[in-house]
Amino acid sequence: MKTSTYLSELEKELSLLPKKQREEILKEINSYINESQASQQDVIKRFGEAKDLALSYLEDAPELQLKEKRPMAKIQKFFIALSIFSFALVIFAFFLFKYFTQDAFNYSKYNAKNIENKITHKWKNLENIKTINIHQGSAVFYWSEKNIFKYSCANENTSIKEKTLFVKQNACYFVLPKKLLHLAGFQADLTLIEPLFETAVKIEQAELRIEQHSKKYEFIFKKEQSSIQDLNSVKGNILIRIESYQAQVNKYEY
Amino acid sequence: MQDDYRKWLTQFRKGYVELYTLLSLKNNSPMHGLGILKFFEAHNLSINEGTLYPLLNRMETNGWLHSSWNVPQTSGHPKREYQLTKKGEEILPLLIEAYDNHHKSMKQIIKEK
Repeated sequence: MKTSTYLSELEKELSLLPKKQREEILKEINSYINESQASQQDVIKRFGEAKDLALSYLEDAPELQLKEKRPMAKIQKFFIALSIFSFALVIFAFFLFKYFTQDAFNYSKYNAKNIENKITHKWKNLENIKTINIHQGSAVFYWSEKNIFKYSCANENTSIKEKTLFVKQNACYFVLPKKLLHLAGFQADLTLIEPLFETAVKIEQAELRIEQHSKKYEFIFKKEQSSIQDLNSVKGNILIRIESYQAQVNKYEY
Repeated sequence: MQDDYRKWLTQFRKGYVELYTLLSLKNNSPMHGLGILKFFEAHNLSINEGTLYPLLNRMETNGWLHSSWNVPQTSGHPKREYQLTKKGEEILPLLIEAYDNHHKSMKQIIKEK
């Protein structure tokens, strides 16, 4: 057996000892084998099997020395396992979050003309509505060149009162006419796809996303504890008034 | 029978090899492992490396010995050299006395038979 092989085996068998002590032992034995006048094979034979030699070291090591090592190894293993499990959990949670929060489809690829074909729920026409109020729900707004005013929701949880359409815990799509409308959202997710007319939006604890395509808008913000990102206001264009409280306003991204 | 004898001898050696190691280092300090083995050979004690080195390790852990690495200035491998500590010097007379007492007791028991 080669000296290096013997020392490797011994190192493995001594793994319970502290690293520094293990290294000293290996260094000493290596030095002895190399310095000895007898052949390396004979010296290794005199040391005995690596397993037996290691056992002698371990038997002679004070109990405390080994005990310190064992719990550490267990603790290390526990934390490594915990880290791997936590990492896997985070990855799983991330994909789960993505799955449940991702848009049903890329809203920006549709418009008032073709959204009707995409949405299978029943469409209802609207008249004399000035405000659309979304409460704990999501809504995507498209603007029609032909002044069509209709909507389609996942359930019937809607009501109309004093020229306001109330939508609660629902997911809806709207096709809006070219007239001034007030959109309100509380704990809601509102998406505006290329507005064609002046619009006033008031949101609280909500998210508003705007797809401009190539259009430019004049944004007027009134915000409190809110963040507004990636929206450039250009004067003289279609006016979008946004009043936000504890909300996020972003450019639409799928 | 042979196995039983070997096992007993291994255990028995642990005690007296420690004593002889302390004795060898008492007057020849510092010494490396090979030097200690040569000392044993010179006194008709047959000890192999696989017995000595783990014991040296234990004796150092017990605080009876202190080791340091002697790195040759020209050529050769570094050698781990051992010398007695104060604790080792203090315990040596006690071990000698214990050894003597056991030896006497054994002689007496054999004699009584």
